[in-house]
Parts: sequence; structure tokens; C-alpha cells
Amino acid sequence: MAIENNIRVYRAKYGLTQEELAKRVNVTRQTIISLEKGSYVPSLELAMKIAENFKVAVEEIFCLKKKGENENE
Amino acid sequence: MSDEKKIKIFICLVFGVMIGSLTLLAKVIITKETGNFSIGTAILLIGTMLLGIFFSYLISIRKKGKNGDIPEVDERTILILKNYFMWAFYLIMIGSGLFLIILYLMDVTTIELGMLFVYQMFLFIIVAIGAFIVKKIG
Repeated sequence: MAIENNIRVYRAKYGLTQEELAKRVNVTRQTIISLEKGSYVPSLELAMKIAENFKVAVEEIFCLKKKGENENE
Repeated sequence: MSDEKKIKIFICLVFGVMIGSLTLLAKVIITKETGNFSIGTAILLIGTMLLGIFFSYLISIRKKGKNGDIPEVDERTILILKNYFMWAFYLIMIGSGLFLIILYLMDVTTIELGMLFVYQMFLFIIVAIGAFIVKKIG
């Protein structure tokens, strides 16, 4: 199982650039890029910071993805 | 006392100890090799180190101005470093072990101090490469 996220969607919804989001949650822009690509799973602290920034619950942004789920879509 | 002030004092202490111990080490080595260690040499040594620190500080200020409030290091950078050093550690442990076995099989019973210096330089190079990789991909 892996973790997928909707950061890109929420970022677009709030009209934020990757750099602005990075500034808000105090990480590098490369980390935001990796998160959006799904190549990096954030710490619980960072996940909560991102959720808090978008004023939603963590599970609204991050969810578990079962193996092979995406391949069928 | 604020945390920021404490960190500044700590950094100054670290640099102070570093400069002091390096100067002492240089004094011991230069005195042993040449027999005299003048004040001029000491000033030159300390001055060079201070200049190096000053330039590094200037570069960090310039970078901070460019990047704004975005940090240069975060949890992902630390994770990359941790993974790199874990693999480097395995490599060094296994490599050193193999090297010692090969030396033993070649009937080598002693290692020159100079060779240990070379080995330590190799370790430093591994650390430097790690820092460079993290800087590039972090």
C-alpha cells in the first residue's frame, strides 16, 4: 500500500504556487514537488501542517492506495 | 535568553573551539617540523580561517535573500542524508573488512600511518560527495 495525496488539487483551489505552499509549511520547494509526484511520503507532522494550511482534515488530502488500484483505472 | 541567541552563542563557541584547536594543532606540527612558530604564522592561520568563515556567512546571507523564507533543509533532506550515510556505512564496513582480509592474505602485518591518513581522506571524500548529492537533489 502507498499513500496518495490531493495536494496539487488543493493548491490549485487556493491559487498557491509550489513555492508559496513550501513557505507556508516550512519545507523546500523540491519536497512539495516530490509530494505532488507521489515519490515522497511526508511525516505525520508535515501532513498535518499541509492539512491545517488548507483547513481540511488530513484524510481529505492523504489517503491509502492499495497496490494495483491505479492500474485498473 | 531566546533560542536564537542561544544558537548564535553555540555557533560562536563551536567556531572558537575549532579555530583554537586547529591553531594549536598547527603550532604542534609546525614546531615539530621547522622548530619555530612565529606570531605572524599564527595570525596568518587565524586570519585565513576567519576570512573563510566570513565568506561562508556572506554566501549564506545571499542565498537567504534569494530564497526568502523557504528553508534550505527539511525532513526530506535529512531522510536522503540518512539513507546515503546508511549505505555509505555499509560500503565502508564491508569494504574495509574485505581490504583487511586481502592485506592479511598478502602477509601484510603493519599499516603505515600515512596510509591511514589516505584512508581517512577517502572517508572525508565520501562525506563530501554525500553533502553534494543532497545539495543537488534536496
